[in-house]
Amino acid sequence: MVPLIVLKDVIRDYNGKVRALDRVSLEICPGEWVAVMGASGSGKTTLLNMIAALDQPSSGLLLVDGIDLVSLTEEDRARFRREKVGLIFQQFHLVPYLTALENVMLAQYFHSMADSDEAAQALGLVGLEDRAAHLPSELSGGEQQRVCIARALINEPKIILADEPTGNLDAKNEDVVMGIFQDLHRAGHTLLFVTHDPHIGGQADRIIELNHGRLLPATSHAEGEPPVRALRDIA
Amino acid sequence: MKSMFWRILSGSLSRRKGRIAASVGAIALGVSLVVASVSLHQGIRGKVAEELKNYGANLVLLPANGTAPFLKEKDIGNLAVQGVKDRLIAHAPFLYQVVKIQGRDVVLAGTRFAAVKTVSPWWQVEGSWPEGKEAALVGLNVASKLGLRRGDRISAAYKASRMTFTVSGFLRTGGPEEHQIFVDLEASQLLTGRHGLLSAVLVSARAEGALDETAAFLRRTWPEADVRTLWQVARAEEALLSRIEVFLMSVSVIILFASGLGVFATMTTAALERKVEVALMRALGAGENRIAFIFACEALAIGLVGGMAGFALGFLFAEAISLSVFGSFIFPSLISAPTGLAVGIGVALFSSLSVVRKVARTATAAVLKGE
Repeated sequence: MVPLIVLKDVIRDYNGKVRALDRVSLEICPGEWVAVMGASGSGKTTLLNMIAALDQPSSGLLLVDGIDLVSLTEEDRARFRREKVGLIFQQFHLVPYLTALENVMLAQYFHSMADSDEAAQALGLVGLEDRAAHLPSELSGGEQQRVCIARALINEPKIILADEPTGNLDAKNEDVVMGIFQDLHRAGHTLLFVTHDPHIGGQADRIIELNHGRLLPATSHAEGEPPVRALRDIA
Repeated sequence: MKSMFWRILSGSLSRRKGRIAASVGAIALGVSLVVASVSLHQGIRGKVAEELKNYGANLVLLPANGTAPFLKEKDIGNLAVQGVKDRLIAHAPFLYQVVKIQGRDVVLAGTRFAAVKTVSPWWQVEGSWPEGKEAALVGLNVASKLGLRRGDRISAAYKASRMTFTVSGFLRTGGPEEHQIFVDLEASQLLTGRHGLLSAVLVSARAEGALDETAAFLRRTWPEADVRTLWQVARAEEALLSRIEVFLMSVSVIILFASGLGVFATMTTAALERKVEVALMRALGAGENRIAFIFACEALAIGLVGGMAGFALGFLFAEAISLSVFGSFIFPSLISAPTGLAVGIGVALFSSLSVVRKVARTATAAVLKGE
């Protein structure tokens, strides 16, 4: 299968002093669910930002859906984000003066054309059809994150990138949100998560671990070992 | 159905009432100061010039050398012709003649008292102004020498002619007028037999602009008159107006700068508070220009509302100041409206867009991460 995401010897230096990623090479196939784990400052978020075209490698090769992200201009990277990726943040980042429906439509607006019916359907997929007219301040944390998921899905992106998507949720909301991700995975979406929670990471097909910007040998659940147990060694 | 653009704009304006009110208030206050200062700058000049006429006449018209020894009263119509009239505030005719009163030589001045009150409003009269052809206003010095009291009757003689006047009041000016007796112009013409003749015309011309131009204009329209400028008064008026002009201009510029800075600080702070919003839009794939357009429209709306409110407020400020200082309203300055709106909208746009551009070009991921 042709990989959807290809990283080869990717290095990211900040100010020539801090090396956030050190010769990272990685391939992710379409439909795969990958969890990125590691200690704080290990480079997890930097890796996610590279693939989301929110940051650029200092050197190396980075291809996503056949597009060389290294050579793109700032505006081309913006186009790449609106067409290829759906982003989910730990802090939700909903526009406070727009309703849940309008927050979903915002992603449509920047992509092509806002359609309230489609946006309402997306909210329905995450179980929030009755909360469409509510402002973020009127929603619980779990509901806000589900709005973020609906916003990430609305433009049918190739990849869904999530940075600690359950980091600000309680156990009950965490289960609801992870249930949605499992549904998305079953539907064939490619998911890349950053998490430090072994339980969350354990639900992915594959776990990659970063340590001081270096990629450690891959951990997979294909060996038949229960995923959470396999992750204990990493966490 | 409402477009997404309008949803964003109306949502931002209607659901952020506190922030929007603060921004509109800052702009309104800044613009009001600019409008008030510009209006006062424009209006006060005219008011001050008007007030300066209290210093008295700044031009005097005398019979020109080589012509008749007197000016003709009917030629006074030359001061009412188009082009001259607008330059003048007031004028008063005078006919001077030395006459005998109680055996002493005294200068008798015939004039029109209604005109004198306008040309020389600073004259102080003890008693009352003369009314009718038989009343006289006596200079304090003359009154002292002749031992005159109010109601006394004085007999003035010129050659074979004689007339009697009643003292209605005494004149205090601190100048040569205190050595003269003032009576009605027709009465003096009758006494001296100089019907329709004048010795001089005192003119109070507008001080703003070149007084020399007004004098030259008068020479052309009234060639029999020798137009002389009372330089001491004229130069003082022009110098004072110039200084006031520079002062008001400086104050306006300072207010313009200070107001602009205040609005810039408020709008910049408001925009900086929304940097996560800008970063989010970037992360969702919005182009820099599209984000800038959204924020520009919002700043435009805030600037427009704040600018209009500020114009109304500034106009009221200016009128209140003018009323308290000059006792009358000033004509609204036409330039103050566009100046005020330009400051309001311009600064709102500049401050908002400069922050949006800056945030849009910084690391989006770092902003979203809260770094």
